[in-house]
Amino acid sequence: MSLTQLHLDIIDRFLEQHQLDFLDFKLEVKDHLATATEEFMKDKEISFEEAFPLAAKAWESELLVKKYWLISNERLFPSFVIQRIKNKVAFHYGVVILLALFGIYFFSSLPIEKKSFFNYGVGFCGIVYFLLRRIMNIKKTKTSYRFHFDYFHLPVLLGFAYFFVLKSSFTYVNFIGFLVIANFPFTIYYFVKHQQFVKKYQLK
Amino acid sequence: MEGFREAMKNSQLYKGSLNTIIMKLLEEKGRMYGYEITQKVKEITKGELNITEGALYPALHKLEADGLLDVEVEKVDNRLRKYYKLTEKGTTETVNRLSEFEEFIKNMQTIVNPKLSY
Repeated sequence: MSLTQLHLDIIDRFLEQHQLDFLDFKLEVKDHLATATEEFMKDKEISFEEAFPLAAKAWESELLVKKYWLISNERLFPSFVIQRIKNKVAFHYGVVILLALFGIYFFSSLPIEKKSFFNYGVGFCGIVYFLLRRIMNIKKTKTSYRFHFDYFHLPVLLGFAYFFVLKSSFTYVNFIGFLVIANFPFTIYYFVKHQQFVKKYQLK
Repeated sequence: MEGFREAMKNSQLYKGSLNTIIMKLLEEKGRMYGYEITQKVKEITKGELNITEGALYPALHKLEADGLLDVEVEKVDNRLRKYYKLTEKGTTETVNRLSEFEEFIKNMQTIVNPKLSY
């Protein structure tokens, strides 16, 4: 007994209500819920309206919405998404800040003429970041990779504007500039993962 | 224990075996999707072992990230379905893990019931 498009839309809305909007998690949960609902409908000979709550019960604790300060103070996430991404966020934050601190230490010992490379570095990373962001925005696909990509949007924006657009002189080291550079490998990684996901699922 | 429903007795004993169970099933069936795996485990164990959704998917994604599983996406009944299958590395790893697992069971049998093991 296959579900109709209307039934699938109801499941979709149910997941959206539980703040599950990252497609790399949502599509799999949606299929799981839909299949479980179909099984209940077949085995117990009941309607979708009766079967769906039974299928959703198994996800009750996983879909419990929570706030987690390290991930975002602006929105809620289902608990299983928090469990899955909190370590990634902590790792991302930790590595970027450590690299930036190491950069400052290393940079302070460099002769003044070599410090202009830093300016170009921030500019290059900023331009690539905004180009990739533009490519990602062509399709509005929401994934956790995109969320991670956008995580350092503000520092990149500030760093890029300060060092490259405003062409600030380099008489001292700026932490934000190093954050932009240190975040660059993550920018590339999350962009690639997002694009791979979109391609694999052939999402429009 | 996280991963298996509370109804199961002494579920602590099953800790760490979830990946091996998944890999064994995929070795036999070729490719499977998440819900199918939970139902297959339930069916084989006659309902004694129930893998929770909250444990299954992180395990599958971890195995995928480790390069042991590959993924195929297909449209089934108006929705997208993610199928998992073993990679070449995954197939080799399954053989290793199963032999390790069998060895563990044999050792446990020797300890718990020495008469039966000889």
